[in-house]
Amino acid sequence: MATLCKNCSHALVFNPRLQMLECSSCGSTFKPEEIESEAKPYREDMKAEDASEVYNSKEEKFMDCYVYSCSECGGEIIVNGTEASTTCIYCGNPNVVFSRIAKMREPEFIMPFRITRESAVELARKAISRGAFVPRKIKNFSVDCCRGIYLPYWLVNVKYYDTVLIEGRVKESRDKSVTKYYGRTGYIALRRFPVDASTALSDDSSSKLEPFDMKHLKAFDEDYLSGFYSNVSDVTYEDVKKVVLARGMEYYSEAVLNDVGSADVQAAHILRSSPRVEVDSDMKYAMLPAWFISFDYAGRHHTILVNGDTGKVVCALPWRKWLFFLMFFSIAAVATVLSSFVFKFLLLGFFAGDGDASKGGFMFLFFAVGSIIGLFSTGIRKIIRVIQNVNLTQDKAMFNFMKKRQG
Amino acid sequence: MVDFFAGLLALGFGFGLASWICSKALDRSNNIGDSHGDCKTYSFETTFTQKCSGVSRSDGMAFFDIYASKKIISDDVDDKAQVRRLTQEERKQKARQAPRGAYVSRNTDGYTAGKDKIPEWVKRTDKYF
Repeated sequence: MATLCKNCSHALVFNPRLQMLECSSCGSTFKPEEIESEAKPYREDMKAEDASEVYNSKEEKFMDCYVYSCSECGGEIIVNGTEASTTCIYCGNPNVVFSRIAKMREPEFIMPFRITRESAVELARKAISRGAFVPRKIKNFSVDCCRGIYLPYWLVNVKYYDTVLIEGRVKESRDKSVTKYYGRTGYIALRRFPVDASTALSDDSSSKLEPFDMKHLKAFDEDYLSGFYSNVSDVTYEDVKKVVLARGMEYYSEAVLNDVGSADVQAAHILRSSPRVEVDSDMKYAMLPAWFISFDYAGRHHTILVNGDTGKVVCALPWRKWLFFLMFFSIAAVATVLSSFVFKFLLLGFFAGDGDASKGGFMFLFFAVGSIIGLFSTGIRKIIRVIQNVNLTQDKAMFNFMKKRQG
Repeated sequence: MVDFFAGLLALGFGFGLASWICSKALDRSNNIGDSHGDCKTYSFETTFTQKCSGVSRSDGMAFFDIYASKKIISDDVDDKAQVRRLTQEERKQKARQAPRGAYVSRNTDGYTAGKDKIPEWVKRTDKYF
């Protein structure tokens, strides 16, 4: 266990609602910064041992498995290579692998959970219940597993430099517009930008948990881990650079297009870009909270993420296909019938008219075909995005990241 | 002929509109929390050190060729190494080497940059170091 109650020596667990350590036996509460774990000084050098060495076996089931002992009952605890806190399956007490968060490995900050387990499930249900296409079975899902996990993050200071060439159309007169070019060179500075430091969790999933309210960051204290799971960093500098480069590019592109767009430039888009990123190697190590809620539907695991600080729910769910297609074909039929009259009327007008009217007719055809292509491509892009996100919610790696833990 | 074209356009428009409306409804209904922190959450004001506006393609390319090749000084870290906290000694050394006023926008070519605004929470967490 991390810390014992001063009054009854029972294990303390962090209560997100009270923002205090609470004793489940006598109900006493303590501020995490006011109480110190007695086990810490004795267990800082005690490493979790490789399971394949302990059992002298090369079996696959021992891969990335480490053996640790419960500081309360001495029972065997199995952790993976990056777990920093877990629960003993024998006595149920929270345990911290101190060697993984000791000395230079200790995170500098922690953002304590503010959302309780019950609130997280409630928030997820509420978000799902609003979905018209969400199957009834999913709306009434029964929680298979719900775990609060502190995810490791590096808070990075970044300068993203870029020179871009932008192409856009500018109106010269009422009927005439010309193509012009715009150049912008500069940088965007990001301060304490959070980068997911766990390779087991995909960056796509973790980035959606943002934004975290950084005002809630506190100096790290291992007592906040009590009752929750946590992982330590296992990413390389290259991983961090890739993430900040992608995000810097997104932010910078948005900024330059806004800047150019403010000068009445239409259809502005970036032609060329030369991005470079300068990452400050002095990164701050922090643990940020997230709830992982899993349920089964149609024989597949689904994992909903809930930001443990703000309560933001992240998931994409399978949909009722019959309802979707019913709506699709109904709208298509009504819109086709109605627009056919309009199109016929307009086309007759254009082609029965003189030269100017015919010219207008071709312009109209051009515009109509462009609009149809635009509607289709936007719609299909959105549907593909939803399918990709459903695949993320059904991602086995994310499910294993959450599920394959003791307790 | 007109009937055929009108029918074809109406069909395209009908299905296009249906796919746009349905995809939007599906996105709202089943794709929950598909967003991440925006620029304002983490960044200061973007600083443009050079600009050219409304020029020809060749002038635009010339601008790009001049400024795109700018060399950026970066921390010399092994990309394949795992990210780690710096020791106090390394931090002191970095502080000695860093140019004064790092992360303060520099006004290089007449474009007003102004000082970066440091968010309150950054100032507050800074006290730990």
